[in-house]
Amino acid sequence: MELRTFRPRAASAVRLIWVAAAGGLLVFATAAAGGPGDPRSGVYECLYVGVFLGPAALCLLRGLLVRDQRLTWTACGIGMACYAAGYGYYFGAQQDLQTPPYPSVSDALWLSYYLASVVGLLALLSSGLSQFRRTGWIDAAVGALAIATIGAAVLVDPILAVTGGSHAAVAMNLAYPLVDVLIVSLLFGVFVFGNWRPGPVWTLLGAVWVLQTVADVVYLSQASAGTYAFGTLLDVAWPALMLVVAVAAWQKPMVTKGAWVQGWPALAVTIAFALIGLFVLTYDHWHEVDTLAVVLATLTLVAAFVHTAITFGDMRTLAHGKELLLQNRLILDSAGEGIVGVDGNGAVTFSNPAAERMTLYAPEEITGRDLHALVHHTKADGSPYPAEECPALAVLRDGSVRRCDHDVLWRKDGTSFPVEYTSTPIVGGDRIRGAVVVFRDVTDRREIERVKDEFTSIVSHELRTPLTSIRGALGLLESGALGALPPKGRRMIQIAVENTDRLVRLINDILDLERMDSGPVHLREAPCDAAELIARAAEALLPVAAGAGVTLTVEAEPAAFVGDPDHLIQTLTNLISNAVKFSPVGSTVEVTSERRDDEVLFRVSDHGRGIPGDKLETIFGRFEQVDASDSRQNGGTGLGLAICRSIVEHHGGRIWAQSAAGEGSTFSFVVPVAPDAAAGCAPLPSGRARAVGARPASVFRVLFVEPDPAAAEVLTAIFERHGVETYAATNVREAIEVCPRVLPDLLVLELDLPAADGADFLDWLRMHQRLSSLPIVVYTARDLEAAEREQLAFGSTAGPLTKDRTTADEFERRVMTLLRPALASTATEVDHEPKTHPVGR
Amino acid sequence: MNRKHILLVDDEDDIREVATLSLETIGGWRVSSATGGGEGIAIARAQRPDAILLDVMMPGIDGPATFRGLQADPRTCDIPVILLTAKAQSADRRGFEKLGVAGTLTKPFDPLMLTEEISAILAWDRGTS
Repeated sequence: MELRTFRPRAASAVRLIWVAAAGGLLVFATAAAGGPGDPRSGVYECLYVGVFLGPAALCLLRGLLVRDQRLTWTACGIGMACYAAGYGYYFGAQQDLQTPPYPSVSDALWLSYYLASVVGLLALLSSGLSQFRRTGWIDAAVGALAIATIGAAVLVDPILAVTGGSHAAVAMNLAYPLVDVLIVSLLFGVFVFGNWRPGPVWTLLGAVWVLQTVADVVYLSQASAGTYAFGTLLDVAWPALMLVVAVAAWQKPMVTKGAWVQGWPALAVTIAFALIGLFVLTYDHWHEVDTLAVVLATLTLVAAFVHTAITFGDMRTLAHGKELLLQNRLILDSAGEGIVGVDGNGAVTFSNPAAERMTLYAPEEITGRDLHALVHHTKADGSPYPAEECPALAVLRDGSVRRCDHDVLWRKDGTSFPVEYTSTPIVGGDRIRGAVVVFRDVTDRREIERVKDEFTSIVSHELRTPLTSIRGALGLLESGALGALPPKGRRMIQIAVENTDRLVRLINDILDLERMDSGPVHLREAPCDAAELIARAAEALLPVAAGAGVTLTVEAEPAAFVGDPDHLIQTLTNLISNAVKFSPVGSTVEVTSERRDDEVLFRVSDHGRGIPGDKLETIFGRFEQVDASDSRQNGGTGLGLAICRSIVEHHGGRIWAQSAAGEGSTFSFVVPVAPDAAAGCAPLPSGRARAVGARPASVFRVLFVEPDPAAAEVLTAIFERHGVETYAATNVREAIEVCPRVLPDLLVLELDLPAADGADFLDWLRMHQRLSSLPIVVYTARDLEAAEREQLAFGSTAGPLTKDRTTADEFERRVMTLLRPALASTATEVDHEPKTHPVGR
Repeated sequence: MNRKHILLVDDEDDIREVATLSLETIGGWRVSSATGGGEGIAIARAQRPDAILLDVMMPGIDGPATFRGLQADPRTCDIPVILLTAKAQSADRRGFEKLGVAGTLTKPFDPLMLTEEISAILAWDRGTS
């Protein structure tokens, strides 16, 4: 502690006392080293009382001058003064008595020091003691009693012999080492049980009291053996130890963090002190003590210490574990989500209060029971939910995390509630030991979504209805069908028509954005192929590009992933349409896709005027355009790119633009290919199918499912006239095999097929996302009932045509109507050879 | 050459008027109109039009219900139905297509293209009027 912080007079007094105390002790130690002095020398006695007064004064001054830890050091100072007084009384009144009384006044004064130390230490360690658990006190008591028992066994008889059978003498003599052990236990207990990190004060006090114990035991053994003589090094021990207490008092206040010495090293230092002290104080007495008894006692103590240390360690670990357990329990109890743990068989091992609130099953009702059978037995539509289809339990089989957004759980009272949940495996060692299912009741959210959807739907209807009348009326006026208008009047009507169209686009875009922003729930995920998406978007825009004098080139690499095909095509259409709008006549717009590690990259590049660097990010915001006049000139709404970004981000991807002013721009976006996407979207077969993925957007394919070879031949001839590639299958098995490979643009289907019915094939198509929107012409010899016709409704079906009632011309016309938009857009693009691909037979 | 006969079912007077004018003037077709699903079914039974243009959102019997009514009656089940909807979302359209209608047209429509779009959906020759 810095003495400079005190008043000069106080600082000088403290320094003086330090010097005096150290000097006095040195003088006495020098004298003691030369052998026992004359106990009746007045100087010797005064010197000895004086060496106790030094530390006492230092401790009292510390208590007086510094408020912090005042009680501790004042108590120690008073105790030391009492100790000195005890010697004063002894030298003056008792030394010469033949049979000193037990207990004497001196004993009371000496013991006062020990008791004052206990009080002081309790005050000092109060923060550490609050963590001192009941079991700790018991262990400390057991340790103290063990030492007392050993001490009693070894020492009681000799003391009785020396003191003429006085039990009071035995009690008084044993009191010192007992209090020593108590204090040492206190210090060690705080260290072992508390999360308390000792500083120099603790280490010094620990060393002092271990040495004090040794010195007191050695004194007792010498006194009982009748070998004690005053004025040896043993008598230097007590004042020296008090001086160390004074040193401890003048250390900086005890800190609990960033300590000088931390943890077990401090304990090792203390023990080392004790061993050295024991050796120094007893080495000249070995021949007078029963060596075997000392060795046995030491071994017992060491064994007891080791045992206690190990127990302390275990208890500390246990206490820590218990604390963690409590903490985890509190976390589980406080969680808003229902959390249920299951074992490897799907039986519940624990559930938290939120799970109870939602399912109404108390933990004791649900624990040990099959989770799926209890709360997940039935699907939302009321059909049974087989355990083998349960995603939460599938985790137990393959160990991969499952997330489910649309499911229901069943309460104890038989009602259900919508949930979204995540099931995560618990892996221990190399096997799956169970799973944790975390679920959330999404009733409120679903209700909000429903209200929002309803609102969107109503707004959509209410805005469009008057617009329909306006647009229709203006259109009829503009056409001149209702009579000619003067040129200025026609111009005005034209302006009104253009702006009505713009308003309609704006409403569409706003509704689109609203839908997207209400969450990924609106995505309809299905297996997609990058090349196919680009082909479809490009097909739709070919006429626009041709009208603008812009060439559209496609270089798409097939890449399978899971996404919402409609929305991704919308994104591509937006980007390509923008590129075309901002391209000069005669330039090219390139659309590419490529598969990267775990994502698919789409790119749309133009050679237009480009985008300034500071706009590259902002153009994806709502109503943000490079030039405010763009929306008027190019008919955009300013929401197209915001919609693109929303769609891409809902897919977990990202979108960005690169541009050099005057050299065109490139819009790119990536969509992640989830590891499980491959499972939902089987990779395309090699060879032929790759060619399909990479085919130019302009080659069209028709698949006939027709058992009659003559009819197939006629059909082939019809389509070849129109430059369409044809494929033929004679039965359902062949059709199922060919369809996914060829990905036809149109299917002509006879219902009466060998082995399986054509309607079965339609059911198969309905289950395949890639094919479910395939236009179909049912061209059958069968006369269909109304119910059958309804059953056949599929995609943009042209409606069943009955063979004997439909002429070849009519058939051709109706089929070509279905293909017409696509063919029209490609007629100018690609000159291709029609090919025929018979399949089967 | 028979003149095509269209039944238009829509609860909005203005839209009925504009669409009727468009179909009659541009397409040269004959148009009957109904203000709701029930009236639409009655007229369809009585007059057996060549096609029905049916609004989706109507008070009372809405478009899909009207369509099911038409399908349930052998006198009207083979009349092709085109839904006229203010819902432009592809998901909504897919839902309607699943009903088994011949096609859907989105509001607002271009009156000059209306007859052409109906003809394309129903594979009518534009020359037929």
